[in-house]
Amino acid sequence: MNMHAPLVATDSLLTRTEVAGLVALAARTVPPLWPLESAIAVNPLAGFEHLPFAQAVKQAATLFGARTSLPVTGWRNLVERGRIDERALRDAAIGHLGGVYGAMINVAPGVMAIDLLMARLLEEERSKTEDVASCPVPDAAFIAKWCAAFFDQSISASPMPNRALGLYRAVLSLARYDGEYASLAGRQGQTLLLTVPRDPYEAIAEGLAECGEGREPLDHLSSLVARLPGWAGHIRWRTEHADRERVTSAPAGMADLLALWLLLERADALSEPAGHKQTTAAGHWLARHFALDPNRLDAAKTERFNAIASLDDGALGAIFMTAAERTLSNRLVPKLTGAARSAVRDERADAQVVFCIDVRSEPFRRQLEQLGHYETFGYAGFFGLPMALHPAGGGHRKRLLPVLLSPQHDITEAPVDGKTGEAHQIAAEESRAAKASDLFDAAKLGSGSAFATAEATGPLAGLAMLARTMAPRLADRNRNRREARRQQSLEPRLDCSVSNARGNGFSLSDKVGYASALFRLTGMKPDTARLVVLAGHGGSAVNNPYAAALDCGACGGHAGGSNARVLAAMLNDPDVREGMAEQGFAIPQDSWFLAAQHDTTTDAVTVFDRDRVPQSHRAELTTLEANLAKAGKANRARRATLLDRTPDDLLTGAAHWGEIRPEWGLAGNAAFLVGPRHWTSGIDLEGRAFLHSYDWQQDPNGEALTTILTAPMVVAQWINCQYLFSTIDNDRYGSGDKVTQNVLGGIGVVQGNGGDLKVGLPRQSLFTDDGTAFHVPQRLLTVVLAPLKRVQAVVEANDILARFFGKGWVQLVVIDPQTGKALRWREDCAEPDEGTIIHSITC
Amino acid sequence: MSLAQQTAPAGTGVIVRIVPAALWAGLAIVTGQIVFAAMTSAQADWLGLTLSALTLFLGAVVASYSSRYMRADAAPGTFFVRLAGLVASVVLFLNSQTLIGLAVGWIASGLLLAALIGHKGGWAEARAAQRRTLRCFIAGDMALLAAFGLVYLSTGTVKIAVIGTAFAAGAPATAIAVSALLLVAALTRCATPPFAQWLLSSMTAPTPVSALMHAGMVNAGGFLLIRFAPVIEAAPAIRYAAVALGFLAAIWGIGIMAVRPDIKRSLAGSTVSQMGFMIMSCSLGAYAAALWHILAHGLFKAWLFLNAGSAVGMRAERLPALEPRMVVAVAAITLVAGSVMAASGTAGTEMVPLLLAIATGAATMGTIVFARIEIGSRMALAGMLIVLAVVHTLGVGVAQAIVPASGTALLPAPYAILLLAAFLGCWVWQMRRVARQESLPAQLYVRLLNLGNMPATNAGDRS
Amino acid sequence: MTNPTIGDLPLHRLRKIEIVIHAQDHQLVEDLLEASGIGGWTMIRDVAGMGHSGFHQGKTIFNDQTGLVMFVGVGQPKVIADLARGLARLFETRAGVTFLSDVEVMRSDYFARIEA
Repeated sequence: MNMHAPLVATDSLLTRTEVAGLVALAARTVPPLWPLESAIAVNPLAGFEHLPFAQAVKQAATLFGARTSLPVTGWRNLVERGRIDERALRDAAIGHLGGVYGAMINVAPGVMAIDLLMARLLEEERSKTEDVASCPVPDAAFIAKWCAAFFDQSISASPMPNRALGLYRAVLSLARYDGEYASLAGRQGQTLLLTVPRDPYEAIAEGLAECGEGREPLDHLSSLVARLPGWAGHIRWRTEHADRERVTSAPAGMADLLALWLLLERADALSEPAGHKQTTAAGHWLARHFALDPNRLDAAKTERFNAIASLDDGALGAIFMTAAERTLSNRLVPKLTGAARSAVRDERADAQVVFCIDVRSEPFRRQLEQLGHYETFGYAGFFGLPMALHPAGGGHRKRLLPVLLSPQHDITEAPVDGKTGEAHQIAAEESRAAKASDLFDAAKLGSGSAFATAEATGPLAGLAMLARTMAPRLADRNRNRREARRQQSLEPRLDCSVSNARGNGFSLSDKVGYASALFRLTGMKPDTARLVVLAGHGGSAVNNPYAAALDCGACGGHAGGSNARVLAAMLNDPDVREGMAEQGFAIPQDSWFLAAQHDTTTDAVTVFDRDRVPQSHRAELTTLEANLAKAGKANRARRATLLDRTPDDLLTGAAHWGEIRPEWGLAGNAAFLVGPRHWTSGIDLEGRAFLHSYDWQQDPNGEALTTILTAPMVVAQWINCQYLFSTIDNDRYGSGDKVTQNVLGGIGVVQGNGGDLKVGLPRQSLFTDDGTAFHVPQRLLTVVLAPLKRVQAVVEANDILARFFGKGWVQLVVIDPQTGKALRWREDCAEPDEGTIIHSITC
Repeated sequence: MSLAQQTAPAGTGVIVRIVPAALWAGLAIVTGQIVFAAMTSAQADWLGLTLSALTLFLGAVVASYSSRYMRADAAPGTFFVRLAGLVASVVLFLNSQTLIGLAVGWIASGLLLAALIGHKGGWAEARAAQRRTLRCFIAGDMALLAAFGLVYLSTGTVKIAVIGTAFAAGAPATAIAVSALLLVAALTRCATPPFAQWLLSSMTAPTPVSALMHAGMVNAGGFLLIRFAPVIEAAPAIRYAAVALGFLAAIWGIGIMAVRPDIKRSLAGSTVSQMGFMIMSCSLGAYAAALWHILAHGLFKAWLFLNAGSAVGMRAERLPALEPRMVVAVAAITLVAGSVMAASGTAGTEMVPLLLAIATGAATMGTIVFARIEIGSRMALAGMLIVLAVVHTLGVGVAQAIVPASGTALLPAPYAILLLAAFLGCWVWQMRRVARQESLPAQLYVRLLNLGNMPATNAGDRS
Repeated sequence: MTNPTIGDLPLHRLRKIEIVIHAQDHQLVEDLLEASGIGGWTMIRDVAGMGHSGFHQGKTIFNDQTGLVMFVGVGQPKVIADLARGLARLFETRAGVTFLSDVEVMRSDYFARIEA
């Protein structure tokens, strides 16, 4: 109980549950932030998705102190490089002015509104804005410091005292010794430490009553959450997505964080939230540029002039972004309408390969398809299996599924039949390595042992540095060999999954369900080829905090090989095939399913469980593997030009500990195409499109389409928005320059000496070496090849879709398979627009 | 292809390629010199050559690493020029045989390092860290210049080789003043409290700069103390002060390392500690041990820093890897052994570092022997440990060939035993706390956690 | 007032709360339930139904965040009343419905309040 008299009258206080409701709502200001070991792309503006896009960007910018757009100079770079068509820009500008009439209207003799606007877009003088990391203000630094100490999961050897009390109470117990708190909060702060309630909800209620005069409590709390979006996001991850046993020893909820903020606010220690300076004095420049005198214009013209002169960077950026989107859709949609009635090749393919929908799969698929009669498919990279894997030799449970789902099956990694000996040896090696690293960690920390440890291991460290710098591929070879041996000796076992406490493995009906889902969702015909490869994917990066961001997003930021192996095993199981046949998916006897993993950094494809392939299929497998290698080589060469390096150097970079950008990841992602492969196979999509296979003819009631749009497309939208916002403000929505990042607590990075846990992607993942955006910030364009009515029904039945398409977070184009006509979904309350080649529909 | 990037300006590209090559070439030259000198038994400045080799090796590794790591930097040309300048200035002061050359190299290296800490000039925090470093270095540089001025006034020479003999016979008051000033200069570079703040807030530097700084630059202090050993040996009072400060830094730095939740400042804490130990060893007269520590720690710390991107990942539990009972037993035996050595008069200046090394090996070996893993694995680990011990012994041997194995002993044996006991006592206390999952006392914890924090700035807005 | 019984089986009067909310908002309700100190609750995923804004589908197969979920909790009248106050805050901005009713349970200790 609180011994002191409450500082505020109790009758005006909110109850605990009211506070809990408000805190839970305020928490939605930020999305969850996953630890980097399983990095998940999220939309930093997820909390604003109920608003129209433009409005959301504006509100979030105010709240987070962020930019609303790439700086104008950055956009111009993209126009100069042809990444944005100048004609599309003009069209977008015309659209902004309300159409051709509004654009052509004269503002001064011989000067049209469009001239003014284009001048502002392309010619107005701009100082070169440098992207600069912000520094935490003292109040934020104080809270960030304690969050870092509290949430550390690996680095400190001596944990923060009193963690078991929870974040808020632990900080209360330590703040009186903290000189930084004293200088921040003063004497009032010291008094508060003694008098504030120990329960965070009650503390928030008091804080709101004392400091919240005239403010809506929810807005008040939301603005506090937004001050440290990284730590707030980490708290959301812990409460909503972490395995409980990993966080119980140090409990913390959003209420703890907010109670700390309100403690500072009550002590009058809050700083002014950082704003973004906008320069909007373009009137003079425009007048000078067009040699006109604004004072001599009539009232209507002045109004028009001022409307254009006062556009801020956000508004100009929105025009550029529209132009970027049109550049893509003008190039892509006509090709897609043209190919809408393309015919299927009927003869049986040499082999079929199912890839992840990831944008990096498409160029590889194109290369492979050119090497033989190979049919490829796009399916979510977790292959529809909501599973978690318990790795052999301990280690955390890996959630190998999109974060939209919770695991339904816990699978154990165990020795492959007949490889028990090798598996045992691997286990011994791993435990030895773990022991050695534990010993090293303990020895370098002890006040009696730290010095000799440095002296004894120094020379070895020197050799290791030499090897990793001068011969990185050689140095990395051992690791690769170990990994390969591990993959050969251990597999995710379907049959011994029940041994763990969580428990349920796959029942036969589960297996049949997951196996047939592949066919239901992708429209793949059951008369499969003799070899069907399910290819998951992962990246390879050394010494890179963002390595998991290169892995498969559908597998929860892990490589997807395990999921592929599980599904392939199911599809080869005679009982499963029998069950599938009963459901109308009779797979030919001579079809063999194989799992593989595409390394997106090196473009190598590893095929798993080769020795189980029947003798009769071996020759075909050899050919296929040779062609996979050829396709990989071609794709690597293609990617090398994008990275401005040699193809061979990509292999070195994948193994080099200093490589800051092993690959471009999903940078450039812009479209999500739902339809059969023969529709898109003739088009070079430049690695910018997610491809989900779909056949409208096999989906009469729209179930498959619903699933595709509400799950894989949602994940694609998160990725798209992460790249978009990380690019437009790399400091606030992204994680800044990689070279000054500092890994914190094993969970994330901070910049330099500390501050907020960084969200989003680093600068190097989005910008080229000369600072131009490699990723063009633009919203996802979803194109579906299906009858309009069916798409409309699916969208209207699912709130999330109505919101995405209606509020402009994703643009939807539907191409009718019979007429080949394209129709664009119109945003709620949008005017029918001109200057676009696509007709509009409304819902 | 429209997506392809544009290449950087040609000039920058050349610099980026030339600097690593030049540093590797420099390393080859110095290595050649060393080999030649060793084979012909020619007169050579071994201390300068060895440390130059270390600095050039680290510089070359860092430069090669940076050619990938810094590829997207806004000013790669400036970066590489400064990096090369930094290595060159260090090599200059290491090899300079006169006070003038030493001072020039010393001051230049400080300025260049500060500039690299503030390499991201648009970032207020980086500029603040740069200023903090500069302030500290300027204080140290003033001390160095004052010391050199005094030396020149009292001996009339700028040749380092002859200064020592001049001082051995000189007035003690001058020796004390010069030694005190040299110590201040050394401590500022070694980031020994009260001069540790600059290093602890230097995380604004790009990772490769940190690697070079923690591995190459901080050693300058140790070099200075060894170079001017004859002068400092003439001032025992200063040596006592240095032993005390070094010891405190060694323990204090361990504390910083233990509480830090971020990898880079945790490593910085470790550097403070290791440099404290090195200063202490130096001042005890154990020059060979100190030199070997400089060389090995440089490699060790550079590796840890360059590898700092690998620190992502959460640990399941934090059980002590060194068995606490083993540490207690080993500590006790070590003390007994030390006392026997002291009593029998075989304790030299290197007793403390030597016994701590043996204790480390013994505690690790004991833990391995009783570890709950397969016998084969235990034997493999034990084998690895033996290799490390051999490497360490060889290293100390090499260092002994380079510098006088021991200077004048400073501490009488019983006091050396006390010092040893202090290290071991802290170790036992620490391991027991870890074993019981106990935190540090709250007050101490907060103090350690706050070290290196930047003073409050209102730099939230962006230029 | 005497407690109701079934034959010789004594029953205890408590209050029940039922909440139907969009699956994507389920965490909001869970946070609230935890803060209220209610002894436990039942969550029914994948609820479908007809409402103001038309028919609500059940969840789609690869996304747990679509469709509706329903929470059922039983507790002392005070706890349930508190909970309802908190929910009222949620429903200022989120869609959802709440039902309150009297219930009788056999083991009252089962529904005891958890002290925060």
